[in-house]
Amino acid sequence: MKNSIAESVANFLKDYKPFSFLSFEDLKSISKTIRVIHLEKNQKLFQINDTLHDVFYVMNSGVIHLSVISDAEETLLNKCYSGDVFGLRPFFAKNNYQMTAKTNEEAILYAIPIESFKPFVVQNTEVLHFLLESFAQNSNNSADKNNNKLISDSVQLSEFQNDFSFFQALTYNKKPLVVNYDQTIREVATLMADNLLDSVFVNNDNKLVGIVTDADFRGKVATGKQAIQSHIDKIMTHAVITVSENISLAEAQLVMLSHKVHHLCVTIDGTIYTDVKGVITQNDLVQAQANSPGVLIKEIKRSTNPSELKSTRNSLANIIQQAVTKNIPLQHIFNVSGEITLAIIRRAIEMSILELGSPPVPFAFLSIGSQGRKEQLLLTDHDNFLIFNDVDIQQVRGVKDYFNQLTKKVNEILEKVGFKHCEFGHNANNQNYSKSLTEWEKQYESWINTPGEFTNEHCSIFFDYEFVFGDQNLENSITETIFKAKNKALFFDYLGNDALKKPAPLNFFKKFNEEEDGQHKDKFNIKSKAINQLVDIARLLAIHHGLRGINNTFSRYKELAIKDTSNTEIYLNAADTFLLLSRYRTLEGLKNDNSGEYIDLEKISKSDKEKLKESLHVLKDLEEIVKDTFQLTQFS
Amino acid sequence: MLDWLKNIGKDYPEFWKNYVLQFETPTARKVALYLETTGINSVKDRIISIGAIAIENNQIRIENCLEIELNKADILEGKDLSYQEVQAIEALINFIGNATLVGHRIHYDIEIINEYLSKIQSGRLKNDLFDVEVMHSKIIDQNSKQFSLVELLSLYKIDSPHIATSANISFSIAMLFLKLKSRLKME
Repeated sequence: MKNSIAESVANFLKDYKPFSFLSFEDLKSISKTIRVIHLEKNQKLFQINDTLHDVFYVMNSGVIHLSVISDAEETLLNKCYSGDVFGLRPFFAKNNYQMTAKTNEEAILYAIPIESFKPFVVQNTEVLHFLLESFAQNSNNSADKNNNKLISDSVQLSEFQNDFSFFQALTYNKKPLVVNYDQTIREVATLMADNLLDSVFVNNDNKLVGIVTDADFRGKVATGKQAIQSHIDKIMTHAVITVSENISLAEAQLVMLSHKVHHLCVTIDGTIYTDVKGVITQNDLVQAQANSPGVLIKEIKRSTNPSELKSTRNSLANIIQQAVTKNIPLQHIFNVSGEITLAIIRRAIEMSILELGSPPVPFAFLSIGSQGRKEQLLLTDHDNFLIFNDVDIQQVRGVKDYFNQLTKKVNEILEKVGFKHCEFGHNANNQNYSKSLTEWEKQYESWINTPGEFTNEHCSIFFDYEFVFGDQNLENSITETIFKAKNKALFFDYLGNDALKKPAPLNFFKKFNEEEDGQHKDKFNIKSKAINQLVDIARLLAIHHGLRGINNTFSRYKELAIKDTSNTEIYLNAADTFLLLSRYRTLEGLKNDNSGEYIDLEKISKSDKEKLKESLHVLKDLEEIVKDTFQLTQFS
Repeated sequence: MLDWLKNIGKDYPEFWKNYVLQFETPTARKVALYLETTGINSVKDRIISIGAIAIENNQIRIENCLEIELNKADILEGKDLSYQEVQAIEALINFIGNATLVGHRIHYDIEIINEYLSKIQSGRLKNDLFDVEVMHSKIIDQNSKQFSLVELLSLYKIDSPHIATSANISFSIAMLFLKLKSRLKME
């Protein structure tokens, strides 16, 4: 009998590993046995210690989060998207599930019975390899994830026992060399050379007595102090520094520093009386830090194509996620993330210039909006514009042409990296935003002098800019223009009005103003109802008070607190509130891979909710300041 | 209402007796059904193809599906039921059994099947019915608006099948039904 359903399912599967290794006929016969499951949002498919299902799962649509719980804290291991395979445990192990699979979005899954898939696994080694790899995969390296789309399925709970969790657990050599104290130096040296190791532990009667490293050979043998026939214990270093298993990066670093050694011996309980389990070298520490911001920036500078940039951006997302959950001050994270994003954009411009040839005249590329304020943690949209030096009228065409191409390239690359296109077309790609210096100066002047004629209501973000690339003098000229403009009263009034018009976060009854309809019903739009207003007011007051070079909302409020002493309290409050709100937004965004604008209040604990509400009161105070400072009647 | 009166003394075909017998035991099985027909007039329009798939325990069972395509030319020519049509209807009745039927504007389908059934000396379908359009109206609490199947599928973010065979469409209906069901918190 014909079976077009199985065919459709096979058609879906064939694009994904491991099914791509199988023939279409095979896939069809597998598809015939598949069951399709629908799960609501936040429904559990299986949880830790559930008995194994007789099926494994392939995502069709939606998102599933795989997580483990350790120390009463849920740690997200993996997110599964369309085409991902998970729940492979029944293939390889008999014990119960080791993780929880829970939908984060309404999901449709294909459940493939193990029985029907097993024959193909046995026949096809590629499939077997893929499944094994997938099952054993534990890498946190985002580059790998990109290439293979493997979903880890085996987790050792022990790794989660300390607070550092597995993110920064060290990988080290678990098979160190151990020699007896009466072996000769020559023997030991040969052994080390054969194994390409720079250290060896010395045992006496199965008890650890010392360590010999390259440095010992250099200092004690090569200098001729010891003959190569003497016993190894003559040159070993006493008092080996031992540490316990599952040591964290930070701890290992501290121990090495405080003892001034380069090698640590890992034993079962961290004393010299138990068996040796491994050796940690300085090199291991360096490797473990590969995800650190400094290394990332180096990587960005070396990358030659957008996909490399993308993988570094993904590592950044990892860093941010760790940092936010570990309560590292958000302001610090903003800075780090801002620097890295800046490096990515710079690299994107460099790549484009390499392709197009050098620019005809000096230019400056500026980021605006959230990146301009260095407040971009999530992959939100990226806005930018370009200023080039004034040129003779004859050349204008060619120059414009070049910069149009350049900006198009840059924005293409950024889009590949994952930055969304600005929905209002605020980037240099738009011809209106790639102009000569004089044109820009005029543009800013007109924005300031005749604010009522704004055709584009979002122009205010052009006042948060950050220099990215090119000739910084051009940026300075723009700044001059803004601060030199004589009569800014009208402009301030306009901005003030604009800021006050934003929807209020709390309603009359001091409840959150949640979305009333649409797909985000009953969620709180933290961006449009709270953050935007904070940002707008900070910008307005900063320009009003003539704060230069501070484009960051948090620093703007801090600075305002110093300048405008009568309202210090309110400004400091506002700064804190801004961080708090950003934190909620970032957490939400990381969880759902979106811009985190909509917060599900039901998921926030009651005390957090109160805290949030309390902090939102500062908006009212800020509004009062704005009302007092400016005359708002002209536009209302 | 008075069906049973009319039916007294009639001798039903074997498959129909089996079908009726199944209703003595209740079931949770559901079958998503899609008929491709020449129109919606139950008297003169004919079935071109049938797709049906079973839903058990909230899972769509791909192994448990029915797909019949009839020869369109033959059907449009002949006035009477051809052998293949009789076979198809029998297979369909055997497949659905006592399951609850799920479809889009399913009463049209039922009418047409009943018409076929009466031609082969059988009774009318007794299955319970779910209509995805009605379910959706219930969710949005609005009865005035009509929704085509394509609209419903896109509303609930289900990909329309690449190759629109009846079976594939019934599969989509089944997925739609599962989504609607969870929204309505039905048991």
